[in-house]
Amino acid sequence: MRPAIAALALALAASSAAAADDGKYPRWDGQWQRVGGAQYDPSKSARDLQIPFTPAMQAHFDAVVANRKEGGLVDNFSTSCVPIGMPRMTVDYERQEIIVTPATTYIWDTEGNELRRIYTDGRAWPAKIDPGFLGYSIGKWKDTKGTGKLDALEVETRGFLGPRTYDSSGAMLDPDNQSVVKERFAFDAAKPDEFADEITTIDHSLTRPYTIHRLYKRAKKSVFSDTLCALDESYLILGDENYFISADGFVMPAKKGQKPPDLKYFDNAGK
Amino acid sequence: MRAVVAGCLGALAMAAPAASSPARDADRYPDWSGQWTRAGSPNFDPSKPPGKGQQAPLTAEAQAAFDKVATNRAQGGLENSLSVTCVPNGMPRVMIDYETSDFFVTPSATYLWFDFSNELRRIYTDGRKWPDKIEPSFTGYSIGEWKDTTGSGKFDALEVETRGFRGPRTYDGTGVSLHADNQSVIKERLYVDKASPALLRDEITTTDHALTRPWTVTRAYKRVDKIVWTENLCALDTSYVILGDENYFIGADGYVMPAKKDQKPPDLRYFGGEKQ
Repeated sequence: MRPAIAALALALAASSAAAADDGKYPRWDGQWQRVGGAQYDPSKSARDLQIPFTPAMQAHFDAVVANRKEGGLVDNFSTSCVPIGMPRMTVDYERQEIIVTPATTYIWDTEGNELRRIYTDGRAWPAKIDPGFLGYSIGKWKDTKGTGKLDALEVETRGFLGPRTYDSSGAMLDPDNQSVVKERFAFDAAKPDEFADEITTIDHSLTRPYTIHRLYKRAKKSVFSDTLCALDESYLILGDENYFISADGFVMPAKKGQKPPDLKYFDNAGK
Repeated sequence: MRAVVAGCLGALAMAAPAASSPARDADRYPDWSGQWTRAGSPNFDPSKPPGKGQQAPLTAEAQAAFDKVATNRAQGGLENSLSVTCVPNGMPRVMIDYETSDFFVTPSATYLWFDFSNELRRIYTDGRKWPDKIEPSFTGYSIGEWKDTTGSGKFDALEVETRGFRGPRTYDGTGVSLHADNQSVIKERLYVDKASPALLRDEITTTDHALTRPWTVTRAYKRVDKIVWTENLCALDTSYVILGDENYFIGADGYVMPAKKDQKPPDLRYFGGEKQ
């Protein structure tokens, strides 16, 4: 049933491994885990991110916080499997795998099954961008020390789809989706198992560009997983209400005293 | 609330000579970059009609199960229509390539991304052995070997074997299932058609306990001239919900609707005395 190709694969190992690295790019392969908490800015308290919101967005966020206290899920989009998108993807909830090719650097986010492409082939911004939660990213590798080795990747990302939040607190980006996110990935040759990302978000819901810093460490063991949001999710949104789905597959209230869902499309509802 | 089906392959990964930086001798590898889309129908075997017309060499038991599925479908049911509730297509169905795909080659692994279902296949080509234990996944665990079939010094074919599955998995949208024991072994040969260089072909042979013999189909993929990547959001786009053992529609206004004639409403047993 299972004829192995291991021997052949072993024979190939020498050629593939030898061909693997020309030393120009940083060793970014493998899996990476965030350092610090899962709040958007790991240097701040999750309860007080101090995002420089405009008054209108601050008022909206205050309403979200009040809703959450009542058991609501306003602006908690990932519970219904909305992609987390950028810049929230940089939180790196589970693990990220990074794959570098000369033309594109790919970031595979295992938590959200999202594949981010950072084009490094020198392309100009397209006249029209098909919007996405991750946006459209163009990057440029830099050799900041003149060593002949690339040690920084500067990236700009535009062309977003929403709704997007910074993290699970529900702090939102502007619904106009005109955000511009600039990043600088930095590599230190003396610390090959970590990299930093400086993330600056420019958004109409902010009074000024909002910069945070995240650090990532190489996972000692690669762990690949199927994260299946739609299967694993136990939330159900019907109309304007959120409910739970019980372990046995039936609708359950998510709030105390919550009314059952409206079954207006069933002729025999309630009979 | 996101339970993770862990696939712990750590020791293996550590042992492997992993590296995915650009290769010095990248010229040895074919340039499969860009965007691909399937050539042919979305039937698993594109050379045959759907359903029974696929002539899948099913065991008698599997054939009976499929007949039951077909009956259910005829009545408006969604039995074995797994993708409507965003179950990943997995292997081998993902190779249908319902929309577009991205194949990126590095010396240590070749990655196949399918945007329709947001599935990433990772085919290790770093010479690793099969691990002692494979935690199951829908796309399985793939080891591949590049071949230089013409002796030109350049690789022109990728032979792949995939094991370690999770289910349920079906071959295509008609609901023909692979065996529930998930012991399938899938062998593939990916290569660019020498006569039609714009076509990438995949010979897929599935060995499975629901089959009386290995089942081989050949699929083809063609390059997309103008690359546009879109996000497919199954969980947002699907209008189906399964509650208990019943499938329903979600209406445009967000409320539950029947999916079948005279279907009973969902069981609201957990709502006690609350009134609508």
